[in-house]
Amino acid sequence: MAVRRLHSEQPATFEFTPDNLAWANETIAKFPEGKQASAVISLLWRAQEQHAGWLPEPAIRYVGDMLGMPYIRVYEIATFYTMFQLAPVGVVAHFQICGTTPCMLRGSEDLIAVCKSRISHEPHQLSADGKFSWEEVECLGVCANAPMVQVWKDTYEDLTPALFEQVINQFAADTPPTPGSQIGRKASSPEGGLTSLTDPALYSGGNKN
Amino acid sequence: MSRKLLIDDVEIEVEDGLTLLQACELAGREVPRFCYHERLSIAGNCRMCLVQVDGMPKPVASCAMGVNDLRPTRDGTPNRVDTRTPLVKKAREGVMEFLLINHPLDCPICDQGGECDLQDQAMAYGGGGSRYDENKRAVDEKHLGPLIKTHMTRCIQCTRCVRFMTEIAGVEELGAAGRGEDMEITTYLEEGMLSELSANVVDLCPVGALTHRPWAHNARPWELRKTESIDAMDAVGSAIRVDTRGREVMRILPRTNEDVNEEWISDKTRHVADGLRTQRLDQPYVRINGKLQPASWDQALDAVADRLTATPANNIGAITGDLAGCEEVFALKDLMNRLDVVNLDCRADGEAINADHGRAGYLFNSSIAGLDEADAILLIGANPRTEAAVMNARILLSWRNSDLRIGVVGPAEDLGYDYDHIGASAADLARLADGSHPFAEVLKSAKRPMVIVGSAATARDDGASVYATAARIADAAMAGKDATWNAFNILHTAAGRVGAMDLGFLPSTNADQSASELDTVFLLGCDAPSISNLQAKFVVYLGTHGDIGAHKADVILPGATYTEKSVTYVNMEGRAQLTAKAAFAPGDAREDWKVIRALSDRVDKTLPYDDLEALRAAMYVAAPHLAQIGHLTPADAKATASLAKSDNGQLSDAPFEPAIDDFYLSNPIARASAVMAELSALRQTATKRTEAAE
Amino acid sequence: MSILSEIFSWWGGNTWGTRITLMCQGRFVGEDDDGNKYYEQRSGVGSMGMPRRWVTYKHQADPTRVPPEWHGWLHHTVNTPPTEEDYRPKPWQQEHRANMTGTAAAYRPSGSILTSDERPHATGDYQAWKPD
Repeated sequence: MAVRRLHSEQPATFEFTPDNLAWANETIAKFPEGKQASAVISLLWRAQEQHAGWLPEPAIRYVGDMLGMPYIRVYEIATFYTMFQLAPVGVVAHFQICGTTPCMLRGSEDLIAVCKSRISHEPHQLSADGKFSWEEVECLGVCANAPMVQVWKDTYEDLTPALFEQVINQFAADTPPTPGSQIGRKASSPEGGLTSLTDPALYSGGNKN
Repeated sequence: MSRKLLIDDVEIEVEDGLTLLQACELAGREVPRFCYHERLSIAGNCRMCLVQVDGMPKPVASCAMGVNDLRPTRDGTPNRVDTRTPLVKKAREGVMEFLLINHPLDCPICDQGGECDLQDQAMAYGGGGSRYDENKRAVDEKHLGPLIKTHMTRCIQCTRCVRFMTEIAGVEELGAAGRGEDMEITTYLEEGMLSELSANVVDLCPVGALTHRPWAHNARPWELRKTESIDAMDAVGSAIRVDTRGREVMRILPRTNEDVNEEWISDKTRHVADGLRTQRLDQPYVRINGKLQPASWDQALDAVADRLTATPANNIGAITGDLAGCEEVFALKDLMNRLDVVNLDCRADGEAINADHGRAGYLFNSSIAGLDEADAILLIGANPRTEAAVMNARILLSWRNSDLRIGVVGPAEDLGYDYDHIGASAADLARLADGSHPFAEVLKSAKRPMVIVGSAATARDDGASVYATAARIADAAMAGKDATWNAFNILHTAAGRVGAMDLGFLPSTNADQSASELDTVFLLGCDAPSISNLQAKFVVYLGTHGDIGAHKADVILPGATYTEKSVTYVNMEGRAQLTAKAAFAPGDAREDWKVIRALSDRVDKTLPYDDLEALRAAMYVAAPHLAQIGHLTPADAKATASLAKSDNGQLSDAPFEPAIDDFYLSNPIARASAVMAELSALRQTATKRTEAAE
Repeated sequence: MSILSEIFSWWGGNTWGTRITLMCQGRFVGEDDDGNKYYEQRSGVGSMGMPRRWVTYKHQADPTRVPPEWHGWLHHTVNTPPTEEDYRPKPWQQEHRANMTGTAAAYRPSGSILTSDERPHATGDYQAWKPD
C-alpha cells in the first residue's frame, strides 16, 4: 500500500444530485441527533459512486459541511479506507484483483500480469484510452471461486489469464460479461456438474412413487 | 472507593478510576511512554508503557488499562503488577525496536536532540544496533504555519498533537491521514494552523517531528541557561521558563502551574522572544529643537528633573503601561507623592474599573482554577480567546467535561465552544439584569455562576454603568449561594494592571486634570493608542521599545523588559508572582526602578531605598498581599454589592468592541517581533478568505 | 614556461629532465582546456606494472589543475582518455577550478573576518531603535 493523496487535478465543485441528496438526508436522519457524523462513510461512498468511481476533494468538503464535521476529519476517513478512490479510475471498469492467499495460490499473480500488460504497468493508473484501471486488494470473500476480480459491485470468478483477457475484452466492447463464475458453474458447486446427490429422485419431495 | 495493588512487591492503595500507569507512578515507578499525556485523552497506540500483570497472558499497555479493569484474584489478594521483570524489559525493547525501524538516525542535526523523549528512552530500552536492512520510510514535510517546522520522517505517530489541537486548543485542524505505516499528521490541504495555542504541540511532540520554526537550529538545550519566570503578555500570569544564551533570550517555554496555565502557554508568550531584541531603546534620548538626540543618563535625568521641579505639581501626570511591574509602579508612585502629584493613572485605555469598592471590584474573583467548577459563565464584552488564550482553553475543557452553559454579550466570535449569544451591545445587559432574558435564569440556578467582564467593556462612555450592571448581575447570581464563591470577574488584558491598582496608582480624589490638559506627563512604559493624542508639552517615556510612547516622548529613558528584571506581576486573579532576571538589558538601559530612584535623587526627593530588597520591604508595607508570592488572597466579596449600587446610568446600545484588535500585536514587545508580524498577516489573510467565502 | 625557467628552476613544474624523458618515452595523448598536456609511455611499463602516464602543466605545477575527466585517465581509473571518447560533463557538474587556497579567491566561510559578506547574527545582538 502506498501513501494515498488527493489527485492533483480536481473539479471545482461537487454537489449531490437531487436523488442522492434526498437519499443522503434520509441516511443522516437514521442517526440520532448529534451523531450525524456517523453517516460520513455512506455519504462519501455515494459521492464516489456519483463521481465516476472516485472521490474528488470538493466532495470531502461538501460532505463535511453537510454533517457539520471539520474537513480534516472527513479527510482522515477518506484517506484511511482504501475503498475510497482518491484518483480517477477507469470509466468502464476498475478491476480490483484479490491478491490474498487463496486467490494467490490459485493464480491471481497471473491476473495481475495481465493487468500490467493490458491496462497499465502500475496500479491506480489509467489505461491509455482511460477506460480501465486496476489495483490489488485484500480478500473479497469469494475464496471458493478463486481467483477473482471485482468490478464496481460485481465479481468475476474462477478466472484464468485467458478468461480474464476475455472479460476485459467484453468490457472494452461495451458488452459486460455476466457476473459470477466464468467457467459456467453455479456459485461454488463442483466444476463439471454434481458428483454427489445426483439422484433426481432426491429432489422430488422424497416420494419415489 | 479505593483498591490495593501490589506494584513491584510494594503494596499501595489507589483511587478508583486511575489507570495502571498512574498507579505505577504513585508507587514511584517510572513507566516510559510516548502517546500518553496526563492532560490528553488516552490513545494507547505507542505500546511503550507495557507492564506485566499477574493473570494476564500478555504484557498490557498500562496507560489504557484502568485499575478497575483488573479481575479480582481468586484469593482476594491485591493484583500484582510488575514493571521491572525481564519480560517487561524485553517487551519494551521490542516496542522500541519497532519504533526505531523508521525513525531516522539524525539526532545530531535534530533540534529536539538533548530534550527528546525517544532519545532518552532509547538509552534505557534501545538495542545497540539495528536488525533491519530495509530502507526507512520517508514522509513529506507538511506546512503547519510559521511557528511549526515539521520533519515528518521522525514522527512516531503518537497523535499527541492531534489530540491537543482537538481537545485543548478546540480547533479541529490537525489530523492523521492514511493508515498504518503511511499514516501522516497533517492539516486539511496543508493550511497553516490558526490557533493561539498551536505551538504547544511542539512541547508535546516526544520526538523531533514538530519543532519550533523561529528557533530552528539556533541553540542546543544544554547550552542554555534556564530561568524560571512569569509571562507578561497577558494578565493570566503564565509560568514560563526563559532560556538564555549569554545575554540573549533564545526561547521561552511553559512551566507547570496547575492553578494558572496548567502547562500551556499562548503562541504570543512563547514566540515574542525575537521582539526582545528588536526596536530596543538602549540609550537615553532628549528632544532638542524638535529632534530626539542621543544623550547621556546625566543629561536625560537632569532634563526630566528640571522639568519636574519647574512645573506645578497640578500640571504633572503619570501613567503606567501594560507591562509595568509593581516595583517600578510603587517607586514612581512614591516619587510622585513626594512631588505632590495627584494625577496618576494606570488605566491608559480609560476603563471605568476602580478600586473604590475594594480589591474584589477589579479582580478575577472566581479564580482561573475556579473555571473548572463553574456551571454557568456570562462573558460581557470579553473575548477570552484573544485576551487570555490559555484561560480560554480552560473554559473549553470545562465546557467539554461538564454541563457548563456559556452566554455572551458582545461580538459573536468563534471561541471554540458553543454559547448562547445574548446580544452585541450593552443595552442587552439590562435584560439580564432585570431577569427578563432566559440566561438570567441559568445564572440563577447555577451552583457556581461566573460573570466575566472584559476590561475593555468598561472603556466606553457608559463604562461605569456596564461595570455596575455586571456587578448587579453577579450579585443576583450569587444570592443565597456558597459565600466563598464570588461570581464577579474582571478579565484584564494587561499584566501590570492589577498590580498597579493594588498599589493605588489611581487619581486621588482631588485630581481634577484630565490627561489631555496636563503639561508634563511621565509615561512608565505606556504605549496605549490613546497616548498619540496626548496634548502635553513635555512627555517623559521610560520604557523598552521604540513604540507609540517613544515617538511621543521628549525624553526617553531606556528601561528593562520583563525578562531583564525581577519584578512582581499580579495576575488578574490577584496572585502576586515574581519574574526573574534572565538576561541584562541592552546597552545603557537600566532596570526601571533604578531609573526612578536616580531621578528622585535629582529632584531632591531621594527615595529611601537603595536596593531591591529595601524597595520590596517598603512596598510590602503599602500592599501586604504582594508579599504572598504565588498565593491567592481572596478579596472581600462585599465589594460586588456596593459596586452594584454605584451607578445606574443609561446603557448605550453601541455594540461592544473587541478589547484586542490583533492578538499578535497587542503590546510593544509583540509589535517589535517579526514572528508576531508574520502570524498577524497570516491571520488577516485567513480572515479575508473566510469572509470572501461567506 | 620558458626554456630558461625550465632549465634553471625545478620547482616550477616542467624541467628539461621531464622534457627529455617525454621526448624519449612519451606519446602525446591530448591536451585539456587549460592547456595541460598528457603523455603515455610508448613501450614498456612503469613500476606499477602499467604504462606510465604524465602530465605537464601549462602554468605552475599544481595537481588540482587536472580536471576530473583527465584525472581519471591519469590515475589509471579509466583507460580511454577523454579526447578519445565522447566526454561531456553532466549538466549538474560545476566547471573545474584548481584549489584556490592561499590566493585572494580562497573560500571564506560565512562569519570569517576575511569575507566581505555581512556579519551573521551572533548571540547577544540586538537591533536598537533610532529616532527618525
